[in-house]
Amino acid sequence: MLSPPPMGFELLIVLSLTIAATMMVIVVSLGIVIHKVVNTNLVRRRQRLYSAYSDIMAGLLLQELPALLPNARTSALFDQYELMIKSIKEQLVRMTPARRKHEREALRLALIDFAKDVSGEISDRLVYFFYSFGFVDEQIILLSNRHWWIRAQAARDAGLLKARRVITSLTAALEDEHPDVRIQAMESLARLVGVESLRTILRVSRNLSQWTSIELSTIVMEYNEAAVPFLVEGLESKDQSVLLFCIEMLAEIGFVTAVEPLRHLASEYPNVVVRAKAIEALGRLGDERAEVMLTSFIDNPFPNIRLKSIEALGRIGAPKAVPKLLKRLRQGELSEKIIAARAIASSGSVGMKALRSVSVSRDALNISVAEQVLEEFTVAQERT
Amino acid sequence: MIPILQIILHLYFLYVILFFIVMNLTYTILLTLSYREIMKYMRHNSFSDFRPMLQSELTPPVTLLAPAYNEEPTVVDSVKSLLKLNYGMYEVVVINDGSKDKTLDVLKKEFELYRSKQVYNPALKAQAVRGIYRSHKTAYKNLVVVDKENGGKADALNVGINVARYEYVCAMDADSLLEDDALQKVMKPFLEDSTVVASGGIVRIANGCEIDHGRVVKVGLSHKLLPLFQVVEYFRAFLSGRMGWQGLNGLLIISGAFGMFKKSAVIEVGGYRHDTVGEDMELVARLHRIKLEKKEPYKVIFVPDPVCWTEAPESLQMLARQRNRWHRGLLDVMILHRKMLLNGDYGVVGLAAMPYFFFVELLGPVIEFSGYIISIVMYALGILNMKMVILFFIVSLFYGVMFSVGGVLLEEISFRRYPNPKHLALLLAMGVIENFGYRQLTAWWRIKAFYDHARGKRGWGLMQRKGFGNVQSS
Amino acid sequence: MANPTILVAEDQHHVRKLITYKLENSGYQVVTSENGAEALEKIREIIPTLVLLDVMMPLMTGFEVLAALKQDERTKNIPVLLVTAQSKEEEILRGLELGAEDYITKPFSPNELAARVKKALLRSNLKS
Repeated sequence: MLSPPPMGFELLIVLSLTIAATMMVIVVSLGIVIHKVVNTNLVRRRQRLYSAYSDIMAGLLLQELPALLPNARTSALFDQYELMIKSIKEQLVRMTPARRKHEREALRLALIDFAKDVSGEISDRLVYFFYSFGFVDEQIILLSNRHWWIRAQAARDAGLLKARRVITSLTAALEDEHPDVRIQAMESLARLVGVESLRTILRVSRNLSQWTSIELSTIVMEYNEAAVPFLVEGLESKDQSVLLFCIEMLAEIGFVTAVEPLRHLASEYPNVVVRAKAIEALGRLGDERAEVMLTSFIDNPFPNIRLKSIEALGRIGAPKAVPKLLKRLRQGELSEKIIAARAIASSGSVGMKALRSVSVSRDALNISVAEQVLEEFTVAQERT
Repeated sequence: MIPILQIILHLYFLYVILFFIVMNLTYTILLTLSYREIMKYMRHNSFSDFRPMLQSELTPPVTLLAPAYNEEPTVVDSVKSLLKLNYGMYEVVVINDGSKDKTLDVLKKEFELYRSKQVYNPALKAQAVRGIYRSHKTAYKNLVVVDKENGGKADALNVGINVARYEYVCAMDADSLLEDDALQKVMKPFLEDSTVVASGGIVRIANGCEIDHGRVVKVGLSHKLLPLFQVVEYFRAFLSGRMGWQGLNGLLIISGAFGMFKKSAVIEVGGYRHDTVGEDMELVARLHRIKLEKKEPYKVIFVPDPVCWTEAPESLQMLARQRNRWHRGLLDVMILHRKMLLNGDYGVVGLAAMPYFFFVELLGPVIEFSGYIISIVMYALGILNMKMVILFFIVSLFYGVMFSVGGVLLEEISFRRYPNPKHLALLLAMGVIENFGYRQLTAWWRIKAFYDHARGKRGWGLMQRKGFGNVQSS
Repeated sequence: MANPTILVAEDQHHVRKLITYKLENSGYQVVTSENGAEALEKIREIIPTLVLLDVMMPLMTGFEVLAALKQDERTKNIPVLLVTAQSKEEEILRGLELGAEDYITKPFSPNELAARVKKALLRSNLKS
């Protein structure tokens, strides 16, 4: 018969474990509640500090300065600026490190908000303040921080500082290992340097993810035609993702200078995917000179190239290519049939007539495809 | 009293306790992992600007699949709200799974549908399609309605995939209420990493919330006990559980209420299976399996952002049926993919995820109940060891409290959809109370599911007659 | 005209402060409001000499306020300057068509703003 171990001792252990666990839960819950309360207070304090600095800065930025003599040293202006902020700096120095950190942060945020909205001499003053308070150097240091989120925030803030000294560090950040840092760097450089930043961005970028491409595309589209020369330069990139991105952007912007370089890519480039993409772009650019090249690709042995050129022809509308397209409709497999049918339908009355004749031909699948596409076009027309 | 029997009972009880200790260790690890992943996600999200995604031509278009069965009273509103999501280009494919009511007629009338000559390509095998419809009106040009013979939700989804025009398909429930930016949030992982094959988000309980035109406009908590328990359960499952698995790329479930998939990947593995009620989990398990067998890099992502709301069952009967169905589905998946269990060839999935689901989720209720029964037996035989009983109750109940509370706390520090402190207090309280009755009840339903499964009950049972949502629409 | 009153409607605190200080330094009396609805109310109450309207404001946009002002007998002759963050042509044209006297785009130079205000006041002075 097993004798049960002494009950008292084990029970004690079990009970204490329980109590410990209970205490843990209570402590954690309390901790979270307290954290929440403290946080709200902190936020409120920061808000007040920010407002105060915002008001002070507004005053300083607008302060009339005595006019300088024509033969004054260039640094005389800076001396005037420095004088304006002297008292603030003295106050900051006298604070405890913890308080100074909060105050500088509030000051920085106040300055950044102004930076977004002012231009002219006031803006120059502002940039001087950024340098003088050490915010610029701070950002540069933060750009090398070991935590990616700090680097990303620094990259974002650097763009708002309008300080040219950060440009080198931001350019380096374009090759950061974390994608979010890279994206922030791109946006900041675009803000600081303008459309010229595209040259560096495209030259330096590698393995663009779809997400990064989308973010970058908004930057590019804002510049629109001004971006075209840089995108054409980007066509020389060795990186396929960058190449594809540039082709896509050129197609979307639709500027005619892109046609020549794209034609070159479409016929010469060794990679099938890139060629296919260039062909698609040509179609979207609506260049009729491209029709000849695209027509020649209709029987290309690579299905990718065939499909892309048929699609592209559909965008241009190519009555002369209809006979070849009909062949693809009859012989290709389902997805090719549909694309060919759409291309035929886009080729004016010649195409429509040809498609209708297919819809009364003998092959059941071909008939269905023709009917589907004819219906698509009719409905689309009704809608306009 | 036969000594051997006593020893056996004692040992078995010890085993039960050990099981729970191991289970709790697992939960702790998962909770820690989840916390880390959520922090990572929130940081990452603070740098995410979704506006370019909405404006750019580079954003890939998406197909929403909405299977419908006997949804006549609600289908029009659901479809209208689906057409108003915040995303660039996307189409909504409603699949009428041979409804016996006027679902199709109502759709035809409201959206001015005409029968389209669109060619149907049965890449995945399914029940016959009776017709594909589109709308005359420009406002609804992205709506496609497919009418087919009844075949169940999986079958309807497969048809939807066949009809889908775009590269990404999103499978939903008929009564899922989506957030405006749901599509953006679940698409982002695909855009950041081209190896992602599936992604899903958090599903929240809509009971007690203010709903307007298919959107949750004000978050609230139900006054009824059952939905409240489920809210806590969902937190535990989604925040404390799935998030952790995602970090290891071992996420085996993406909720059927809302999940985004790469169409090519789904077709590659053969689409949804028709013969199981756990089709959502089964598909994901199969994706893991085939990708691992082919040694192709892939990822299954969980987006810890609330993207979808669903009505939870409010009656015991409905809830019981739902849990029964879920457990039978889980059992199906375990049986179908038993090859992966404890198989090193399948990496994390085989060595961690499958065993977890098998031992903890599948067998957990059985072991827990056996613990209760053994206690009673030992008491009846007069050999009850109080210390062990206390230990048992502590490990099985008390830690359950911790993980429910953990889930609620994770929600509080991250998404704060329940900003009202009263709500928070209520949820924390529920997290505790849940373990004294509700949990045992769900465990019992799940045990009963084994019996039903063995008896051959395969389908959705009564649910099939009344719609795919978790709750009957009556 | 002694001390013209200018109403500044701008929701962003720091911009509002900046504009207020600049105008006060230039010798004007300034009344501020933080959103469109409040601005409309105050304008109708005090009938300022000039109005500076930010376009992007909560509750009522600058365009909406402008339209309302032009329809009211008491306020339709008050010169209005629009402050807009977008330098898109359509926005500017729209503002001018609605009856704005002039527009200022952000980022702006406070000196330029003061100059335009002065010019607008002179013009309206000449008219009356």
